[in-house]
Amino acid sequence: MNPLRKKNQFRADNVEENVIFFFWNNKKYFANKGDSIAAGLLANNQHVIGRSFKYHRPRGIMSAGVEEAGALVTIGNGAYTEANVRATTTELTQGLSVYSQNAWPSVKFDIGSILNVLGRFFAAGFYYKMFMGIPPFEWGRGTKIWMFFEHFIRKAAGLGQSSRLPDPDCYEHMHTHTDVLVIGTGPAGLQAAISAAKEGKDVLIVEQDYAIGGSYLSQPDTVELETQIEVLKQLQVTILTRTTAFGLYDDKTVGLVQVMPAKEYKTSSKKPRQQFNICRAEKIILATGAIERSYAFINNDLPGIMSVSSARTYLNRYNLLLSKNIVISTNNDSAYETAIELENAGATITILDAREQIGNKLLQQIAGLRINLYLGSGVVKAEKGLNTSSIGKIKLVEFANNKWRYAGNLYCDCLLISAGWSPVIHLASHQGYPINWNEENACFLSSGDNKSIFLIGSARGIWTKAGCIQSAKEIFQYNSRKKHKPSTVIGGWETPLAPIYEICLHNIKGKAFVDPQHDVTSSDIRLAYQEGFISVEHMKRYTTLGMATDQGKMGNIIGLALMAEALNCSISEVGVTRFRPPYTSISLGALAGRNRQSHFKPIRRTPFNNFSIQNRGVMINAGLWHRPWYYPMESESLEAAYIREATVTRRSLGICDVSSLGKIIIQGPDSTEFINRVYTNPFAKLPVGKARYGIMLRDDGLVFDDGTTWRLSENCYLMTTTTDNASSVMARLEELLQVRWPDLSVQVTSVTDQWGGCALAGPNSRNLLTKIIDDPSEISNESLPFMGIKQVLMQNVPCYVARISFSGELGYEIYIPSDYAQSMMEFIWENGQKFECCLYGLEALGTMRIEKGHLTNAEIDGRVTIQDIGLSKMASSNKDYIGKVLKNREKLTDSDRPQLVGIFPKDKNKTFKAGALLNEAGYSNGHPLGWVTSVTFSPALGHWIALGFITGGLAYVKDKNIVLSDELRSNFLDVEIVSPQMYDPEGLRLHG
Amino acid sequence: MVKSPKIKRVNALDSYFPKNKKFNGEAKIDFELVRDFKLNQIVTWPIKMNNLKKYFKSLNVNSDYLKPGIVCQYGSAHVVRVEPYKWWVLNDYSNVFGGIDRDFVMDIDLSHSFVQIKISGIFSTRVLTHFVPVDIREKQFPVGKLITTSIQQVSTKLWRSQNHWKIFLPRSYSESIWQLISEAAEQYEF
Repeated sequence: MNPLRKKNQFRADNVEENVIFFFWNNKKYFANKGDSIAAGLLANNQHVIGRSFKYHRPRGIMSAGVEEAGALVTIGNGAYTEANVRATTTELTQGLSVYSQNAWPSVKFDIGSILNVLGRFFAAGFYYKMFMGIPPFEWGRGTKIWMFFEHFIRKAAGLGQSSRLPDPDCYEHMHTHTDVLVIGTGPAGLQAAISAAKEGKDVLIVEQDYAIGGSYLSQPDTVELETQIEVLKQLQVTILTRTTAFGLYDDKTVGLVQVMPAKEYKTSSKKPRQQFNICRAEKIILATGAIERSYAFINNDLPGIMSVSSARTYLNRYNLLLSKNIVISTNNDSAYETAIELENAGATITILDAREQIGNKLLQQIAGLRINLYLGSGVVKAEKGLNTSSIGKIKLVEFANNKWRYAGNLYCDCLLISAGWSPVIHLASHQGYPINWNEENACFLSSGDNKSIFLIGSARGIWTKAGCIQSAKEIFQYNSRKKHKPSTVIGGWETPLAPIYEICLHNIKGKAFVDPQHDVTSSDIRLAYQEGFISVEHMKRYTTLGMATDQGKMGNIIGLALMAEALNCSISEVGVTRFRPPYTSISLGALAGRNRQSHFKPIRRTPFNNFSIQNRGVMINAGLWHRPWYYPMESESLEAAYIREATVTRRSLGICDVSSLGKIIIQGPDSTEFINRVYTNPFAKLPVGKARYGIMLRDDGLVFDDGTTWRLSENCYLMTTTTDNASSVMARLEELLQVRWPDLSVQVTSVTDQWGGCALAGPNSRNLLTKIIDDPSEISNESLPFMGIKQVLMQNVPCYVARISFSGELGYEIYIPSDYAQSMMEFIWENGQKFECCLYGLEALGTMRIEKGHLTNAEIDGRVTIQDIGLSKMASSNKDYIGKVLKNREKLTDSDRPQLVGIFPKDKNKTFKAGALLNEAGYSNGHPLGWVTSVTFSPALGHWIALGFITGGLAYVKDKNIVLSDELRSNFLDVEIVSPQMYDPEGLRLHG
Repeated sequence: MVKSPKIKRVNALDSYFPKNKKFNGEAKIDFELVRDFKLNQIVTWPIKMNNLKKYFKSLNVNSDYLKPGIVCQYGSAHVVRVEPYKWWVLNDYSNVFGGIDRDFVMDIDLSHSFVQIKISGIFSTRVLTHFVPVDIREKQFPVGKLITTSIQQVSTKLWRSQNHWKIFLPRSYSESIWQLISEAAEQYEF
């Protein structure tokens, strides 16, 4: 095959000065601007584009569209490498580097092609059979041997390789809403868009190609297309090219991925390379066209064999006449138009038509042209030419006495196949619309719902251009309230198609491909049948038919037909697998959009964030919050820093950012009743100006959350929650009010972000507070007792002070409107210096709360009861509350349930980690007695301590020898089980 | 109230918006941080709704005050019903609700809970479509409409004003979301 560029027929943009260069396997070539990679390669006489997935057979260009199964290439270099790109749909750009795939050392001489010779050993199901078994009884099989060979198999099989470098491009998301979305810009799609726009609708039309026009682009005359485009522009229709509608989802939502032109995203790092567009439309029109099929015959994958329609595209769109000696094998009328155009361009054409007769109109059209017609003919085998990997000869067959028989050889260097058309119904299939086999046209058809989702044009099985356009007009010619009843007749050929899916003769051997991208042959389909994989779903998985990046666009129907033949049933009885998104492969980058790296998830920052960073705070993401972990002095380690911070706090004063605690305002005349029902302990008599610690249960009686709730006024409370559970508690309260107790006059509002909170902890906390608030008398021991709250002024700014402590020291929490928080912290920090205070972070906070036996989500993990955590006294028996009944279930009140305890190592120099198990000595391999939830080095006690749960609690293990076992780290040590209140159990320091 | 110079109000996005930078209404895309705004929320309950209706009637305002998501102007204040029993009042709160009977509403200051950003320019709507899933075409989302939507799963109030958009981001998320929006806006010459 020696394609000819027809210079005197260039389209407007294909003039000489628009020649561009590109690199194919590092060698420089020239092409026309607007060429696809495939067109550029064909123009430069490059026919072997890659090697096949399994057998490493040479593969060429098989089509001119998205159905391409052979010409997959890698483009770009380094981090910009993009593998498995279809050469047929990717535009060539100046200087683009294009590489062949799955070949070594070169695509023309590939060592891996030895697998083609050994192909009989690698039939479908090879891996399943080869590696099943239990070693060592079945030598050479089983997981171990698979692990050994896997590396080599994966290396030998496959497609292109992606770069391992981070993707330097950016990707974008977008949400589009439109009245009408038209997918496809062929004659039907353009007509539909124009009709919709004329009705005053917002119209978006998308095209996966980089040029608008669909099948118009394959026609010799572009005047009609240009007119249509002009009308679209006048009607202000939004047109998106390079945009694939890859999935149709519920509520008329379509996933679109738009690939931006290289000239845009390559010139600016701020422009996205691809955009994932979530489009919601009132009406969706699928003008997605149809894909021309091949049929199976021996060596039907040789370079130089392609679809008839693609030859037309290369001729009219890219000005490439593929060869001067072309054979066309067909079974339908559509190939004749192309044959005539190719003949007009200077080629000699031989048509092998599987039908035994054709209509007079076609006969008249080809009369007098250099077109030889063989009726009742086909191809049984293709063979390579001399000194080439491409086709050089074919073996003909003729149909006689109801069977094919050999009819001689024919020399050619280009074979075009048209074995019928498959409408692109994938998007309709995504939504589960019925798909029915049409015997007359040998294709699956769907009609959408004909209410808001329509199929038009050849996507609905209409083969004539006039019929396609009419089907588009019809949609807008009916009352939108009624269901659309299409009147356009499907089909439209003069002579009906004669279905062919495979031509084979028993005495001519070789591989006939059904799915060329995954190297699935007709023998594989028959093997699947023999092995009992007759369900279409099983056949797909056994043979991998239709599982490659082309999703079986070219081969699925052939596979179904061969299975139908084997089962002696119709294709409709075999059925079809439901198509799944994406229709064509899309990049993961587009789906991720900007939500990667630092934007992987939103980060919450407290009002003290900048202050913490300015004061050497090492930050950590705890859940969604960005919080100070510790504040190292110079080169201090984490361990040294948190020990110092906890020590200074207990000795003098520590300051900590506690803004992330959940804060919920509860307002209304029934707010006291509401809170009383939510918490286990009574709140009805909580006076204004006081706070109370509360426990909240779930309906099933297990502990949900804890926190303090402050009574700010008669009908207004501020509830604090754990940081982790803030949103869950808020959602829970809203659910209770909206669903269970709508009669309560209560409103809840999250004010977590309204207030910045800082904790002052340590013996000097009151002394510092006295210095910084405007009226020191307000925070005396009498004015503000333990669990008291007060609104005070600090530098004339109103803020709340609560005397509560998580550290176990005399402590206060100050809450100030967030915008004032940073300068308040600076003010506090400045005044705290005279007390030799320190800032402390999450690590020291955790240390001090473990010493005191205070709880976090490490302990309240959704599995514990109020008894388990030693707070059963907080469960009131005099009132109803959520979880009251179910907390008393038999298994939840067992005395041998794991209960909260403190843990000391017997050897005080030993360390251990959270997650370790607790066992009785000598029973370390059985079901554990308990587990460790939180561990720290205690500066106050001088050794490692922990909180955990152990069966029966302190009483049960009193005289037992308990061993801590950390099997993963091989750490085993004797421990002592103690009360969870390991530091200042009487609370003397807490009360000042 | 006289504030001490020692404790200043600092917006969460203060460092991203220099105070001397002028809002460029002519640009293709521009953002303005609204500093020191006042935002109050009033709440009521189903059994008190009639009282509130009467109160609005006494102010001689139209029924839009009771419709969800319609921003109504009353003097220098803007009032909008953000939830079935919650209203936001921007700026001059006392002008609207100063004389209301506290038996049927309660209020709360949310001025520090949100960061308010104005977005203007011919690409302002397009930038928002990168994040906001709702239909913000003008015929569906006219001037004066306010909704609660989400940006990167963060609850966000979106309001179409006369010549610009306003978004209200929760303060703690604002830096993260702002970085995301501003990066997307760079492709429109921000």
